Order: sequence, then C-alpha cells, then structure tokens
Amino acid sequence: MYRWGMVIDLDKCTGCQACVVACRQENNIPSAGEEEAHLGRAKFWMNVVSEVKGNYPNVEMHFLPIPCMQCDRPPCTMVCPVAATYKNPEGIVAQVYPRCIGVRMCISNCPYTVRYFNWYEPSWPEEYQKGLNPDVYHRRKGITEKCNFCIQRIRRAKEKVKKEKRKMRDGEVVPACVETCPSEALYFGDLNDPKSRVSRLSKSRRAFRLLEEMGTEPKVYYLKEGEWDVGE
Amino acid sequence: MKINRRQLLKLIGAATCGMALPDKILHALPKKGEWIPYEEYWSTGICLQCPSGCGLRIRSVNHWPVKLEGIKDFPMNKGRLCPKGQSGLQVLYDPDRIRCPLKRKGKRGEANWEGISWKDAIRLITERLQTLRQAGKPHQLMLLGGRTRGHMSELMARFMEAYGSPNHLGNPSRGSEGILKGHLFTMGIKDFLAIHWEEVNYVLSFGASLLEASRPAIRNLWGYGFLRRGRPGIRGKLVQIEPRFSVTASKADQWIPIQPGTDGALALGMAHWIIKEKKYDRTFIDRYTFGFEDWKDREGNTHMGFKTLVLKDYSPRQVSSITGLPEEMIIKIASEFSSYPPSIALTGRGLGMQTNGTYAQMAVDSLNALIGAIDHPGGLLLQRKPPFQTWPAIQKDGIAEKGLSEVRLDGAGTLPFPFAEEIPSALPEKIQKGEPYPIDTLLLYYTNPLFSLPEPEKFRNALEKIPFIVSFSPFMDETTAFSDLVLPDGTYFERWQDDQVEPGLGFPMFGLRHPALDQPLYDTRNTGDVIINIAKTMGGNIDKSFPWKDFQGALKDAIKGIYATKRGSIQAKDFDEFWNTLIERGGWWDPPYPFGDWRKKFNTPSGKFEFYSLTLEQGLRELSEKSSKALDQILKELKIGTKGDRVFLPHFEKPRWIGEEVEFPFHLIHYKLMTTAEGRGANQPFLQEILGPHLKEKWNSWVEINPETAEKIGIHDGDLIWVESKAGKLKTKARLFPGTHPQCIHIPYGQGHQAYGRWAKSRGVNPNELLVRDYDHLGGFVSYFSTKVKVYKA
Repeated sequence: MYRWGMVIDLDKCTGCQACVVACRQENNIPSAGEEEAHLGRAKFWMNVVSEVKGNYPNVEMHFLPIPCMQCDRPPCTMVCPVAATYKNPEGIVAQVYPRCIGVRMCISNCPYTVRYFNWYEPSWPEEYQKGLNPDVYHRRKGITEKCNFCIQRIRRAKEKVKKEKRKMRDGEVVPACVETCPSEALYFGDLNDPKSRVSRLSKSRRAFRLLEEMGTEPKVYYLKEGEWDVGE
Repeated sequence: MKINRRQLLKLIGAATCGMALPDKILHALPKKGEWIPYEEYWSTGICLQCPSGCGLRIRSVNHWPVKLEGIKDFPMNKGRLCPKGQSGLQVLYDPDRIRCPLKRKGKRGEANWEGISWKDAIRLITERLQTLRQAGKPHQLMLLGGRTRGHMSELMARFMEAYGSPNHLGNPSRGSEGILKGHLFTMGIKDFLAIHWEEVNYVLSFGASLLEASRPAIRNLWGYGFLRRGRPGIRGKLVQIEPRFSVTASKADQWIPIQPGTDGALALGMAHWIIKEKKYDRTFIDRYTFGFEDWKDREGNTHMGFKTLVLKDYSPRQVSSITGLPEEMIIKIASEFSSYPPSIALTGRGLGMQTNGTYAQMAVDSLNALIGAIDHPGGLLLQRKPPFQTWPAIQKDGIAEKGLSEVRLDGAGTLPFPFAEEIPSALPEKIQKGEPYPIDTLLLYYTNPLFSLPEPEKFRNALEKIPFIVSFSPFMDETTAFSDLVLPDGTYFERWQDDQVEPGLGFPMFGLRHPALDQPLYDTRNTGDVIINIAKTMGGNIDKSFPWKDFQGALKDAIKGIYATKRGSIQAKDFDEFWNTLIERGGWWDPPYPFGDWRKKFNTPSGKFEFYSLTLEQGLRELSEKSSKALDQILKELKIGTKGDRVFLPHFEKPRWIGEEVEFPFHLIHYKLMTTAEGRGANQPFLQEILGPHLKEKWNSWVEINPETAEKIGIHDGDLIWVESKAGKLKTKARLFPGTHPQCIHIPYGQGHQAYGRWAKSRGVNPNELLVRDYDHLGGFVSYFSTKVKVYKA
C-alpha cells in the first residue's frame, strides 16, 4: 500500500509560484477575478504565502508553498456531517464532491486553511473551456474543494503499473506542482517505501512540519533554509 | 465541445480499439454527469512567454491543448516550467485575440475595424510598399521588432535589406544593452554570458534579478536550487547587491543595499583589494588579458594599466564614500569573492540601466577576469551558436542600394550614439520633425512601443505623423490599436519557428516550434509566411532574395547545416529523419561545453580580454577622424567626465539624475516581477491573480515606499498617492515595504495597459509614463533608472 507524501525544500524554493499556476491549470481552477480575489475567494489548492519582517536594512522575507497537508489525523474529515471528505487508504484526504452539502465545517476546522469553498459557479470564458482537463471533476457552486495530490494522475499511474505488471518507480507519478517546480524544491513519493526520496528527506535534520504540536500528523514535510557552508 | 450521437459512437469505437494502444486513447471520465471518451496525445513546442526558449510538452485532448509541461531532457528547462510558462494556454485561448486581418475604418485608435481577407490585406500592404519603392524612397519604410526569435530576426533583416531600408530596429534585448556593450568593449562579444551553475561556489550579483526577471529565468531558478542543495556537503553562497530588497535579495545569504548607480565603483573597490592582496589569477592575467599593467604603445608612449588606475583611485575608503557601504564590508566581500573559487560576478538591469552602465559593466567584467572566472568551470561561459547553414545571398537592385546608403533615422552609429546598433527611444522627435526624412510606412512585429518605451505619449504623437502603420501582433496592444492594418500572427502554439535559447548553457542549442493544433485557432498567419508572401508578390530582386515556399522551407534550409555536421543530440540517416526527430524532441543541442577557448573567443584587437579597451580606443579614434572632431569634443558629446587613458579603462562615472534633489527626492526604480517579467503577462488572469507575492498584491499596481520615509511625509499603507516626475504623474496605491531604500520608491513594471485585452486594460499604472529620457551615450541606450520623482497623497 502506498502512503503518499510531499517534501518542500525551502532552501531551494524561490517563491516563483510556478506550482500555483500548474495546479490551477491541471485541476481546472478558474481565476477568481479582481473583486472575488480581493474578498479572499480565489482558490489556491497550492498557495504561496509570504512573510516580511524587520526594518531597513535588516529585512527578512520568506515564502512558504502550502498545499493540503494530507494529515494522517485530519481534523477536517471528523466534522463532515455527510462523510463527503475522508482519508483514503493511501493517506490522501479526498473529497467526494457530489456528496458535499457545503456546510463548510471542514473549512473552519482546517488549521492550515487549505480548503476552498465555491462561492459562485466556476466560470471560464468560452475560449478557455477548450483547455480544461477532462480528468478532474467539475465542482459546482456551494461545495468545498481542496488539493488531493493530483489524485487523477496517481490513479492513472497505478493503472499503468498494473497493466505492465510492475512496481511504481520512485518519482514516476508526481502532482502538477512537483512536476513543474523550476528549482526542484518539491518532492513527491511513497512514505511507506523507506528508500524513496521523500522518506529519506522527511528524516533530514532540516525537516519539520507545520503546526506539528496539534497532532494532525501532516504528510507534507518542509526542509529549513540553511547557512552558508563551503563544504570544508 | 458538442458531440452528436454518430461522433460519440465513433469515439467509443476508437476507444475500444485503443485497448491495444496504451496511452494513446483513454477511458472516459465524468463531466457534468456525462461520459465522453476522449483522445489524448502529447506534442512538443517552445515557450515564448519570455526569451528563454524552454521546451514544452503539450498535452492535447480531442485536439485541444490542455496542459503544458517541460520537455524532460531539454537542457534549458529540464522538464520544468516557470509560472509564466505554465500559464501559456491563456495566451492561446485569450478571448481577446485578433481573429482575422483588420483594416481601420474610423479614426486612429478608435477601435473601429473592418475584417478583411488575407488576399486583400496582402494586396494592400504590397501595393503601398511597391509605390514607395517606385518613388525611390524605400528608406522611408521602418520596421520595429521586439521578440524576434530565431531566424525571424534574420528574415526581417533580409526583407528590409532587399527592400532597401536601413531603418530596421529589431533588438530583442532592450533594457540590457549596457551589459552587451560592456562585454563588447572588454571581450569583443556581442552576447550575454552564460552561468556555469553546475560548479560555481560563490555568486556575487550586481543587481541581477536572478530569481525574478533574469534571462534565461528557468535556468537561473534551477541554478539557484542547485547552488543550495545540488551537491552533497556544499552550499554555495549568494550575495545580492541592489538598493531594493528583491526576492533574489531575500533568498541571498547577504544583501548589500547600495546607493543607486554606484555598482561600478564597488566592483573597482573590490578589485583594489584583490590586487593589493595579490589574490588574482596571475596565469590568466599574463596569458589572456591586455592592459593590466602599464604598457607602451608603438610610438613609445606609456599608458596606464588597470592595476595602476585601481590602486590609485579606488581604495575601499574612496569607494565607501561613493557607495555608502562600510569599508569593512567592501573588503569582506572582496576577500570572500577571491577566496572561495569558483566565484562569479553577475550583472543585470540594476547595473546596466544607468547613465554609467557600460563602464560599470566593464568594471564587473574586469572583476571576473581578475580571478579568471571567464570560460572556466564554475564561471561565466561564452555562448556557442548552432551551426546553421547560411541562407543564399540577398539580391539587391539599384533602388535597394540607394535606399540602404541613407543614414538611419534613429541616428544609431553616429554621434552622440557612435556604438549603438539602434536607438528606438530617439525616434519620437526624429519622426515628428521628419528629419532627415519622413517615415511613410511602419511595420510592427512583436513590439509595443506605446507601452514599453519611456515617455509613450511622445511616441504616440510621433506615430500620428506616419501615414501607414501595419502591425503583425496576435493581440490588440496599444500600438496595434493605433495602426491602420493588422495582419495577425498566431500564438507560439500555432506556427513554425526556431528559437535559439538565451545564453545559459554555453553549448549550442536551439528549439523548434511547430503547430500544436491541426490549424490555427483563428484566421491568423505566421508572420514569416506573410513576409515571404509579400516578397513573392513584390517580385524582382525581393522575390529572388526569398527562394522558399514558406517560412518552414526557410527554416529547413538553415537547419540542413546542423544535420550536415552530424553532431549533437540527433543522429539520423537522412534529413527527413533528422527533421522528424527534431519535431519529436523539440530541439537540438550539442554538449559538452569546450572550456578555456580564450584565444579563439575573445574578439578584440589584442585577441585577449582587454582591461584597457582597444576596441573602444580604436572606435573613438576612427570616429574622430571620420567626423573631424577632436577626441575631447567627442567625449564631451558622449558626456564622459574623464580624460586620457581612463576613458578606455573601467572607471566610475558619476551617474546623472533627472530632477533636482530638492523637488524630486526619490529615485524611481521600477522592477520586474517573476509573473510579468517581460511586461506581456498582463493579459493572463492566472498571472494577474498572483502578481506580487511579497506584498500579496494582485490585479493592480502599487508603489513601494520605505515605512519610515512614508511616516515622515504622512503616507499610510494602502493610501492612494501621486508619483510625479518631470515627465508626468501617476496615481496608485502606496505599500509600505521595509525592503525599500529610504531614497527610492519602486513600481513594478507590466501593468497600466490602455489596451491588450479585457484582463490587462485599465488596470494599474505604467512606470514608463514617468520616465524622462537620458542616455548612456557610450553604450547607446536609454537609462531607465535616471528619473527622480516626488510622492504625495492624492
């Protein structure tokens, strides 16, 4: 059984947001437009947040890409009254869209604020509709949606592996964000495989998880930024 | 996509047969409760969201592209794409694209168009060009080009030459000319240098926007990641020198906020310490450089060398007073830079767009030469070009010869711009006055001067004087909206075109764009084909200069040269196989890079790297003879503030500012974001919505002010304020950003369109409207960072 996880190396991340755009194109997430975006209603399954602190010239700025943490003990699934969201056997916190009734309790119970609500019927200009991905479900107004590690890609890769009667190679399937990351700061793979890149990196001395103290057991690991080291 | 019963049955049939063909045809997936099988395939392409030239893998479903990825083994982007690359389908599917040839009906700029057929459109332009030529005035045709990739620039140049006009302005590296001129004077190279990220340990960046708007952006993003964690046990150091706390500065190990326009002095101060402490690369300097020590010319006169100059004029103390940086800091970075090789010093717009940009670049080049960082593993590489076959010679008749003998309208190549190849920003006044001659017809290809040049209003007034303007743009940008005839090109998913990558890898490489759709989305045509079509219709020598059916034919002709070398990533038994493999793989490349080829590559009079630029000396002496002006007089016209040997050595020229300190206290340093780098991303909602992550800004413009400065003048975060220069004023939102130098304000570039589609139009402000034109005359470019401004509450 797979247990999918992600590692984000903050020392390599440049805050370029290629992951953000790749995710939106892959998962048919329309842009919200100026007004809705300013109301905070833009959907970013993969979101890059920033923090600026200090005074000139001692300033610090950090970028943090935030997908769904795919918690092993997800607070969101516990409160869903209709079991529209659940943790699937491979550890992905998935959403059964037709079952969602839009009470948004999952949204308020998510400490990472990575669940998004469809405040309006998603729409694209007619021309853009040609470029929609047929592999992802059409989410309507009034339901909640979220990052699912590009589950459509995983499903497809598993079918392929099955047909070819072999095991999945490390890195054979990755979400759109990981595939595009220009500085190769994102990694994706099977945490159950001790030899996989993500397994090894998740045990790095630099590794940490967001709000670890809450006991949510996220499967997204971050690697801290480092100090200059000439390798002596 | 509508599907009737018959098609549906056909598709299901195809899907069933497809069981034997894994991946080609996929099973059905739900969409709005319906089950529709689809056909999927992958093709290749080359991105054109910036000039990097990244390889694209295009996933198409039922013939429509739905997702872009990078080509895995493409050396430039290694299977990766930046946010602009990822948003490429919003270029293809932009609802406001121009859908057929248009002829102006109402007044200029009124957006009153009449759709016409391609036949009529080509007849219109051809007749106009014929008449102009028959009247013996071919030089009154002008072509402004922008992003002319690959052989498109050569095709354009060829057309202009065969037609007989010297007025071809097609430089795609606008804003970075200072860097190019610096390289020309020190190394005789007319190109950018590539970075050997694979081995470099210490990167010193003089205002290079490495992680936002550099070229090639993707290679530098990858390089940054590799510098940090690519080699076990080694974490390279990045030092960023610039007044603004950019993303690059935030990711650097050290940020050095320097006084604007003084980068060159810092480089020379570092050189002072390195020379004094004898930390330089003696072997490289002895063998491959000229003008380090004092030297004697043929007449026996002694000339000053770089060493003497630097030791005399640029001690850390002297440099400290110029740059505003503490002496210890200058010494510390000089010591680190020379102690942890391989090190490199990089430059960008921040250094190059000042009135002293060329000399500053020469200073940084010299710094690299001092430690032998050029053409060396972990250093700066000299980009090799693919061995294309040259096209047959251009046929010129008497009219063409006569037209070409006229002076260029922009004055490039003559005083006060003797070394410039072109000066688009000098055009407005010359067009306005019609001196030395008027312009009759203007062609625009992938350029938008009414947005991208300083003082666009003046350009607009000048355009009024041109009787006929033709644009080849796929989008209704400001300048296209002001034209008389539009012959729309397709997007980069719909045409044949080669794309030589920006210097980034060193070894030769190019990518091939080919149509990803069966036919263009709309009634558009590849401008390459249109130019050839016009040439054929015009007949005579012009027709003979274009011996190809279409642009694809011209490309094949050039690429045959590469096939003939039998080198590189594609080996084939005949050209057809080579061509098909090229389409399949998206490009051709020929690694590895041959290091240490200094003798062949330094194209200077001495054949060496020149601390003392003989190229510059010879150029100025020839100019003096030709114009019969004394050298001192020429220096005065070039606004160079020094005399003697120093003129030919890298030195610090005091930057000039426009606007008095008292009235205009702030430097306006506009910058480029990763999301808008080339200013062309404003028509893509995906990019608009993630515009400035450092301030969480989107869909708008803003001006960054230092919080303490803002407090002093009573401006709060989010206030609407006026930014005013001698050229004009703009109203926009103030954002207090602690990374702003107290004497600077920053406006990101890319917004403020008055056209360019529904997403871009009437949104934010364009800092170009504030810029007053001053020049680095030696380099021959407009200095974008010279304007000073004041700010006050609206």
